[in-house]
Amino acid sequence: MNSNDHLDDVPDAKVHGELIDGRTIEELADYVAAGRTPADPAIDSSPASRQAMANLARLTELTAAGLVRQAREEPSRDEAWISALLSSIRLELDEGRDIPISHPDPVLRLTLSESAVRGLIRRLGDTAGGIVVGRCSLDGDVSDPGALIRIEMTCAIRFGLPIEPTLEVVREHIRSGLARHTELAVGAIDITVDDVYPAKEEPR
Amino acid sequence: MSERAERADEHLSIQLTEIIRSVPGVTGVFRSTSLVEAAADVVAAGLSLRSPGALVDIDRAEGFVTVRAHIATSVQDTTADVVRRVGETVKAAVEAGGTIRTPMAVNVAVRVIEDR
Repeated sequence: MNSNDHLDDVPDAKVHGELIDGRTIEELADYVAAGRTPADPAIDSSPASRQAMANLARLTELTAAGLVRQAREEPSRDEAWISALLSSIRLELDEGRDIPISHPDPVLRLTLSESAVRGLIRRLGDTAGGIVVGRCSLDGDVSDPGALIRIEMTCAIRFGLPIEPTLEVVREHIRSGLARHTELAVGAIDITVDDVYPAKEEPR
Repeated sequence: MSERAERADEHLSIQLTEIIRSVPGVTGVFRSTSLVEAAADVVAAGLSLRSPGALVDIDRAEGFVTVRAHIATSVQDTTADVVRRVGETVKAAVEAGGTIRTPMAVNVAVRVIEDR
């Protein structure tokens, strides 16, 4: 995978260095692998940790088999790929900007955090079929209702899939998901394919 | 703020936390300030530590009350609808409780959309 060129630009509040609310991403991965038992209230009460665990759980489902195979064939490359992916997930956990949800009652101020929306986009991309999302960012004034925003992301594509048709399905999946869950005015969805993952040993 | 008013707000916070948890589509309620920030506030103001069940923040300042809740929602439900339901439910509960009679704002933020 490419280096994390601009990941350092992501603002970082609750994610200090390697820690996500006091835990490493590896510790969170272990907790997910253990079925989140015994329950750890410190992890369960952290939004950043829960977002990370949601991404990790899905990542595991999507790529475990493929990654095992890839690791056997190209261990050093695989390590870099996983490391870059975990870095992307970790750095996307900062709460970010507030994205408004409208309500006619002026007493109510309703928002989604930018990190929640980034997590949603990652989920929509990962479940569209045929790709694993790498980095993801929102470009534009998300706090201004109606302002057009651009989504920029990278991904790995399953070997053998035609790139453009696959990405068109992904774009449509993301666009319809965001329309359902948010009030964002989504313009371009720019996706850069920067890796390929094995077609065989896909998860069931 | 008097100790009695502080207790009343803590009680209301616990109630609101439970009410929010029962709103369809909500999968979690989070503290709206980090534990470190909360501890700093406690030290600064000489307050007692808030109950672990009181996750909704009730902030009184200059005759205005801000009720603040951070939540997780399920991707199975439309997020915008869930957060609207939570806002409306919190406002109705606060008004029904009658402990807040000053102008107020209800802020609800979705922090995580989960696969549950």
